[in-house]
Amino acid sequence: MSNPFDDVDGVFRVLRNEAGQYSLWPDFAEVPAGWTSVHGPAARAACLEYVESDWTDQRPAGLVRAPGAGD
Amino acid sequence: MDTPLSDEGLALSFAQQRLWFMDQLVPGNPFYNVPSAHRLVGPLDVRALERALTEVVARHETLRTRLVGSSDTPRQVVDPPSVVKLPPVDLEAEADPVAAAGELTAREALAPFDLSAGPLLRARLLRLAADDHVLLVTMHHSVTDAWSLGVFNGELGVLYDAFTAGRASPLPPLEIQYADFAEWQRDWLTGDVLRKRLDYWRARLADMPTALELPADRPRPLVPSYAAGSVPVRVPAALTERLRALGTERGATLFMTLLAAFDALLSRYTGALDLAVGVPVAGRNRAELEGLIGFFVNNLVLRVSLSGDPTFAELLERTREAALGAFDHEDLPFERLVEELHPLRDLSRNPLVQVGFQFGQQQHTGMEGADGAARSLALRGVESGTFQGEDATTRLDVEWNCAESADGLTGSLVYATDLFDRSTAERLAAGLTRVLAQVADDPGVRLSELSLLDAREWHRQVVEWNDTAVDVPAGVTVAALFDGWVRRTPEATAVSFGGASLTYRALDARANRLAHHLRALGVGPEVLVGVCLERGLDLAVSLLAVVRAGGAYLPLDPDYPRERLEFMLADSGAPVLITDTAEAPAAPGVRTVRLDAEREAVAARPAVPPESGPTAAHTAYVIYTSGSTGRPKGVEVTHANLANMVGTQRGPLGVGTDSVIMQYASVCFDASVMDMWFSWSSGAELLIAPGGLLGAELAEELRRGRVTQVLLVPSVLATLPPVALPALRTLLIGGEAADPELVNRWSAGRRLFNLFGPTEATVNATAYHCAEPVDRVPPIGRPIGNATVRLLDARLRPVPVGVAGEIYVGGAGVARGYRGRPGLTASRFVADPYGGPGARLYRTGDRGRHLQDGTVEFLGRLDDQVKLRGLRIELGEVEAALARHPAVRQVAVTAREDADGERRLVGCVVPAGTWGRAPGDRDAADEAAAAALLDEWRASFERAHRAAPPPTGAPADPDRDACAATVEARIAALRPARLLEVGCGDGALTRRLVAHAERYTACDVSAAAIDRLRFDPGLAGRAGLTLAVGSAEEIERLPGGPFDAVVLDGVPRRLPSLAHLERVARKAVEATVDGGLVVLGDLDSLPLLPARHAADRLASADPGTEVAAVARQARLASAGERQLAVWPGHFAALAHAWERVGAVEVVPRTSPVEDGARAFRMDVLLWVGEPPATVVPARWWEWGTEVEGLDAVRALLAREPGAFGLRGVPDIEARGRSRLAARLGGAVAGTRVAALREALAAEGAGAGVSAARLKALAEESGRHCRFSWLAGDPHGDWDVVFLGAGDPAHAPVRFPGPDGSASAPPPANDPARARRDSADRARLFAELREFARERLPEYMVPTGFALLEALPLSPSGKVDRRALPDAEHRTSSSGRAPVGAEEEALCRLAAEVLGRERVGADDNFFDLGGHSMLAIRLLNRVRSAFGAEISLREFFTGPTPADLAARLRGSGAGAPATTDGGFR
Repeated sequence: MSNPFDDVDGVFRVLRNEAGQYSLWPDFAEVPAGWTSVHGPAARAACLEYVESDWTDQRPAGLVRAPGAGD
Repeated sequence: MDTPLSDEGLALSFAQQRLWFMDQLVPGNPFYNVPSAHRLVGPLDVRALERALTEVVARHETLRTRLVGSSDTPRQVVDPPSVVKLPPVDLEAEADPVAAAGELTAREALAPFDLSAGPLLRARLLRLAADDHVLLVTMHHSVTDAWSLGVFNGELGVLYDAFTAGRASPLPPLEIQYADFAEWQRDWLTGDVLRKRLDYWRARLADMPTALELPADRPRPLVPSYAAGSVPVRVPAALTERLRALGTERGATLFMTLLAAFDALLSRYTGALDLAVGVPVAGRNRAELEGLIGFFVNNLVLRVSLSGDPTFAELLERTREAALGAFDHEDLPFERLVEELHPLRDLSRNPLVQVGFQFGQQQHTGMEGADGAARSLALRGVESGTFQGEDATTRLDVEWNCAESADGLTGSLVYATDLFDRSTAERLAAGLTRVLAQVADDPGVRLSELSLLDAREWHRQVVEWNDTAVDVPAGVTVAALFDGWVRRTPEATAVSFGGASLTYRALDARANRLAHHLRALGVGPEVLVGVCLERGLDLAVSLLAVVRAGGAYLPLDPDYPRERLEFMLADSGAPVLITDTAEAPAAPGVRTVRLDAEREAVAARPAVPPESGPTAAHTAYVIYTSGSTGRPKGVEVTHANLANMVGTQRGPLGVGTDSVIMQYASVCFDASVMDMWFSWSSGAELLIAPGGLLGAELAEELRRGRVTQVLLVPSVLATLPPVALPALRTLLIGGEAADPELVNRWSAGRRLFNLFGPTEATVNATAYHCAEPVDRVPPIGRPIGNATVRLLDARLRPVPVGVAGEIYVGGAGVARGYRGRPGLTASRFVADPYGGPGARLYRTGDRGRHLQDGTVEFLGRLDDQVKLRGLRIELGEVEAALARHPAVRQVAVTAREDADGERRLVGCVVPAGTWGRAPGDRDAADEAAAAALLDEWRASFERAHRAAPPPTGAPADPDRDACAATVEARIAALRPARLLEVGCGDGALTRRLVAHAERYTACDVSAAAIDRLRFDPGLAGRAGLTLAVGSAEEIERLPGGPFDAVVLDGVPRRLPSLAHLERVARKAVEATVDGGLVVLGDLDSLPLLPARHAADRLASADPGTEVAAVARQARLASAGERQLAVWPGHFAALAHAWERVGAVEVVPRTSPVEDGARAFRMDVLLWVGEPPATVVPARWWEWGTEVEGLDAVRALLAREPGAFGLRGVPDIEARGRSRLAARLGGAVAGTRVAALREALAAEGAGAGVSAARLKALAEESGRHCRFSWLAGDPHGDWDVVFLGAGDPAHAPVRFPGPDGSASAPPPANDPARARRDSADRARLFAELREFARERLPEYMVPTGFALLEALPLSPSGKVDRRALPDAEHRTSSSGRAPVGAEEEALCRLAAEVLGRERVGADDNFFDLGGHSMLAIRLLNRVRSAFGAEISLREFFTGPTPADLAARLRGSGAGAPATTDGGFR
């Protein structure tokens, strides 16, 4: 058994949800609800490169909008 | 027809022979009963039925056949015809005649046959009423098959019809009988006919996986019961037609289409991409066989590859091809194939195939049936039908039997009830029909696209089993919960360590002051603070303070290598570090808070909490885990994650204000998160344990602290002595598989939970309460509150219950991600295809499966991550560290179970070109090693002879004495005037030979040996005997030459290389006169060396050891062999190459030695000059094709008066051992030694002849026979010559040398080089270990190493980790011999615990592969042997036997009670 996310020859997309979190996603599978394809279909490495350059702040969207905010 | 009825009977067919063998194995079994029961309603003419039966039995010899024979040659004997009587069993008077008949039917079906007594057909008639009967006919499978039943029923009907009508039998007599077929089959299936078929099947089945493992509900029993259940499988007519059409379009039959679909289902259920299914064929491909009753059916192995995710159409083409090829070669009996392929034969499963498919037969009959000829019984004037379903048996795991009917396909899935529940079989059957429908809809559907679940199952697995919603107050952080307890129970103990403690109020105050201090340095939400402190109250205060200040903590274990700590500090970007030492790691721009130096400044801060704390969305902590690319990665866990875990699990685990929770794990592991925040959010006490506590010390800490809850990995729990810990009411285990016995021991009287969860899912994702005793590794349970668990296949679809999938964890525990690693985060934390909008899953890389109740069973890892004693290690990280060493070109690391059952990390290294020695240097080093080896032998002989008791003249070793007899006979026949014996040792051979020579020189390298012989009662003062000290290398200088015979017995194999042996042999030849003889005695055969080590290792292995570990050990032992082993064929060349050698014989050491190391050894006879009267056999016969079996040899002996030879006679002993070696190497992963032993024992002797039998045959006819290995057969097969009546008994015989066409194997091993190599390697390994230690935490440092020329690759081009070798030497021992009884005993104890042969007095226990668990074991043994307590800590500071001895002397403990040790 292998994992589809580790398939170096696979075709992938990059998905993003409302919280601004990213997910690598194999192209063969349907895009789940609440996620939007923002890149691809493309090679795995290209998708990961896209994530590396586009996801600059891993904090969820709420926190990014008010950085460092406490209450 | 006139059948010879000799006393001896006739041969069995191959298929019969297997059933006979099974019967020998499990006598009185009903596995091969073939019962049938017919309900006959209407007026029955019992007389006519009896006559009809009598006639059928008279016609078919099989029905009068018995199988007799006690040893290895069963025969079939046909009894004369007799009258069959059917006295009706009257059930009319029974209250319920039908029920009574049912009972009798069941009993009859299971009543065993006596194969040797016969008859193998039983008929009984039950009378339910005057016009209502049940006819029971039960046959043994060895005389029938499904087709035969059709013949039987048909003939019975025809004859009944004739006899009731007063006519004679209309059936023509049979032209041949089954036994003719059996004989014919044995004659026909030889030579080219056999070879062609064997070639096909060997090629077709090469490297076939050993077994197909369908996910079972129960562990496989060692010996199966063969009990079967069955569930119906129906395919509607319309679907059947579509399937047929789909096949027809592609030139395939319906059979092939169904088989392809079945293969697809099996592949999806098992993950196997290369699988074989057994398919029966009628085996009656000649017209005259069609009317016979007998066991003709044959089993074909249909192997199909499912790799490359084929479409169904592609798979069908592959299946078609496999089927056509198989049918073309179908007449090779399955039994013969099994014999040929030597699959690992364990009794627990059918060889070669475990799943069967049968198409065309009406119903399952518990038989290997084929074809739809099974006509039912029809008696004129009687209404007949089947009476109740027979209880089926099956030798397979699963069989699909189906047949065409008007309604489509009917049939059943028959399953072994040992393995499967009915519900599992029903799921499989449902999956099968679903697959059939899908492929009919779209033949282009890919294997991976087939869906196996129906809507109801899907809903249950995806939705119902994840219905875990629990209310946890939103936005409440653990800090807020802690605040509540500061107000409610300020004086309660919040944390304790080593006798000191802090109340909630005090902890709060100190943490607040430090929090203000941190705030002043800019710490707030999303700011990371490194904490590098030893265990203690300061650590607790600091972690709480970081949270109080709103920041997130990064735990840093001060024991880790500085390099690694600095990496984590820099990688995480933490701007602040709390520590209390100047030794702490540093990184640019990091502000260090020194608790020791800044104590006053901190104390001056306010004791009230800082104004704003963290919110739920903020990070609470970052914990680094091992990273596969060599870079550890930081997991960011938020307060919401933490609050959910704490909030949902506190209740179920029973945490309250009266709890005392021990923090056992280091804060670098997230188990500590659970301990700490469970305690502080519940008003409980956190008891921080000192690091590394194990065994009695841990038990004492638990007792003293009245700990109520602790989380331990099972291997730590296992070190606890069996003490009562009444306060401990909750025990949490996790991190690795727990032994059921351990679970049961500790679950009694308390609540024990098995937990599972990666750091990325916040410590705990599933839990299983072990409320009842368990009989297997407990499951990891169900998802905890607000968590989801999905088991998905490679296409991200839920897998059926029971089938392995990857474990994905979702819900409130899913962490934010890997800090600063967006790409890695996006590939591990992925969209949930079945969750709420935008939900994420963490894919764990763990394999698991659902049990029927929805709990999850953990099955291991998908990738290279391993856990050792619960600690998570990415092998890639260890590899990356080792790869930086300049001597390493490539490296792969594995976790391996050693023969002692311990798993250890092993680094397998391909050295860089710069490592090692220059060729010239290497030769010199080899020479030095050779000299050292010779010295070692000399020294060890010297020691042994000095220590031996005074000589008595009696042979010391009967085994060796018996071998000497064969040498003696040859020497005696030669009548040498002058004989030289080199290496006389204890004089065993000397005493035998001395009488045959006029002058005898006996020498030995050991002066002690020679001294002893001078006083030997059998030799002392013997005339003509000269005793001298001298070695084989100086033959030319020994007194008494030249010689008529030179005997070196046992010396050649102690020479360090083949070059040495040849040098010595040349000198011996030079020292011998023409017509003389040189004997190189007792030398190992190289091709048999692996088998010898395999047999040795298996004999001494512990029953519970994994067979694979034993196999690897045997390979290592073979490669590191210190004795010389030579390919026997190598000596053939000497006769040509050496001028003075006239003839060469290589005589295997055979009878009377039947066992032991000598069965692998040979005597090499070099005849000098022109040999006297060489015997040249007149003719050679090829064994197996031209001649086979002892009877044939006997016939030849009677026919051929002159010398004749047999080529390639298999030695039953050697074959047995090669088979054992093959089994050892090819064992199914996970097989234990006990199972293999049982399987081997069950198999019996197997093919081959024993030397003793051949010799006895020769003697019977007053002749001699001689054996030879000169041809160099790799299996140790002999060439055997029977001398003619007039031939001199001990003359040389001209035997053939190796077949020139085959490439010659390497001529010998090289003990000297092996020794030099191992010393060089040991040096490198020690260096690598030190190197790793500077870069990795101790638990990640490999304890063993191996050197490779290249890394083994799997077909996909990845490193094949399973093919990596074992550690060569975990490290070399310094070898300082122990001095004194204490050291001696301690060295032995350490060696036992470490599973090594010896341990030197100054060897570091931990360098030799020891770890803390093993240390506990050692200290326990020291305690029982010496009565002295040494703590683990003390041992860590002095981990050598010498250190231990010093401590024992310090503690006043004496020497062990017995030298043998009372510690076993």
